[in-house]
Amino acid sequence: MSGKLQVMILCLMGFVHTVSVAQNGNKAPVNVGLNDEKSVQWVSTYPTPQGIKTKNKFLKKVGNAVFGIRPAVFIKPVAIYADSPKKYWVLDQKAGSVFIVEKEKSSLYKLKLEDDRPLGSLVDICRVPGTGLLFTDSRLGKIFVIRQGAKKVTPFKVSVNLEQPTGIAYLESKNEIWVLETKAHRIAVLSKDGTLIRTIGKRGIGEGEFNYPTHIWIDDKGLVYIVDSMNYRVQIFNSDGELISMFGEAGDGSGYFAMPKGIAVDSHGNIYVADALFHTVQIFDSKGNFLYNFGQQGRNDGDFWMPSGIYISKDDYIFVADSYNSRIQVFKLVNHE
Amino acid sequence: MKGLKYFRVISVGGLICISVAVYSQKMVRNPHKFTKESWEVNEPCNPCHVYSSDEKSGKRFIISYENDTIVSPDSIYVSGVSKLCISCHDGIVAGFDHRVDIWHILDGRSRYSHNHPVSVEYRAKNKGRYRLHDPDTTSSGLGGTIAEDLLVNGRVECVSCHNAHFSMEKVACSTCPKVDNINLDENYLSLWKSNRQSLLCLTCHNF
Repeated sequence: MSGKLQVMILCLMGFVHTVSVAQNGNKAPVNVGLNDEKSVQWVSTYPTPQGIKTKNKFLKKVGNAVFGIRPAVFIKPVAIYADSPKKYWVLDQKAGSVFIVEKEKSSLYKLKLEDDRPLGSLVDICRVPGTGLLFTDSRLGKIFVIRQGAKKVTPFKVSVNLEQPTGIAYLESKNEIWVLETKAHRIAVLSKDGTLIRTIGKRGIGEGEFNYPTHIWIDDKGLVYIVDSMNYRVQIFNSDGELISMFGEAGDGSGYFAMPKGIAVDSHGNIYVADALFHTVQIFDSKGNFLYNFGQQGRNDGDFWMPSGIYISKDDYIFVADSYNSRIQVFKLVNHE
Repeated sequence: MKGLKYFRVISVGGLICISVAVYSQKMVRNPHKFTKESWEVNEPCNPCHVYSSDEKSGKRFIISYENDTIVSPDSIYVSGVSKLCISCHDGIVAGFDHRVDIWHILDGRSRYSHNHPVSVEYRAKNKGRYRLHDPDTTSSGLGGTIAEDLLVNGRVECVSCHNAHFSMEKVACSTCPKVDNINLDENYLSLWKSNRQSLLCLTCHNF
């Protein structure tokens, strides 16, 4: 009798679980930031509000409860590098770890240093062909590398001491690694073996000068976009380090900046800037004219709470590190033309 | 011999003057004071606050987008004026030494709670683990009550303990609060008042 009751309870639990997953999977996409030609559509959030989905979620939960294991979750994600929406790397500043999200396997791997020491204060990540994924640690003043298939991260040797390295990007046309030294208010240009080639900029408010530069993006044409955070502007350089243009100023209206953070460029050349105090992502054309924005302060799908890093893949999937919601949100730029 | 005596007096006097000058410089140092920076352009409240102009009157005012009205119901999220602080103190703009983690300042449920919660409602109570004085009747020691001097709309925020404006009495902004007789030498955290013997803690907490 009791055996039948147990079976019934287990069946009922399985039914409830199936329904909840189905409801979540069938959720209609949120449409945000519309204009006549393009729209940004919300695709997914990771982890979901229900937690990280795994194939054996129920059994895993029971196992974790029995053995006292806490599942890995994001605490303060700040940057993303993505091969596709199904596999991406996330820097979690507060956890001091790099996470690999593989959605097909529904898993989240946590990478640590070789000697298991915690990382300090992670900021930005980029891929360098032939080397691996490079990321910066502003506390340790170092760059680290994740090599193909490695489960641990190793230091990337640089010929100079970097002062609070933050944004990092790879310039393919010249095989150069561009690193922002926020404390020194300049860009350090490194070769692929870590040798300093030159520095660009100094502290100031003039053209080509910086006041706490924090985030960087290099597009397919070799144009370099720098978020000059405390000058409340974006400066655009060519691959030789010459200033091409700049835009932006402090303010509280659309198109202004309050606390600009991550920057990325889509396949159409439009520039996306995450603003932590506006809780939104603003989109500008290549000349710096404001187009539209998506996201507002909140915790629902498509909302943000102080976003920081942003990454756009070649097929225009937009990944936003929704830092204070402890999650990654994925959007897709849809072209209606 | 007399000349040597004068020399000694002058030397000692000089050393005292130099020491006082150095100490004074240390005293007035404010990490949020950017007026002497090469890039500062007569806008001393920059870069923490942003100016805008009224179209009709032409008067300039400080934008207060940090004072949003969205408040997290479960006190898990930093809101209001504290967002302005943590948007800079993130380990990216301000370095790691100045980084403040929201998970350090969450409520007691978090395993990352090592610090004081912010963006939480101040509730006076005389029972339980965290006893608090009545904010409307208890003096803050700064001239008014706890509610008047330390709370922001009845909530504890970063600025309830930290005074980002101290020693800025010479700036153009007449609304900046200032605190006199503050011992800045021991006050490296820019606290409203010394926390020696937990003085600042005991302003609110009634253990």
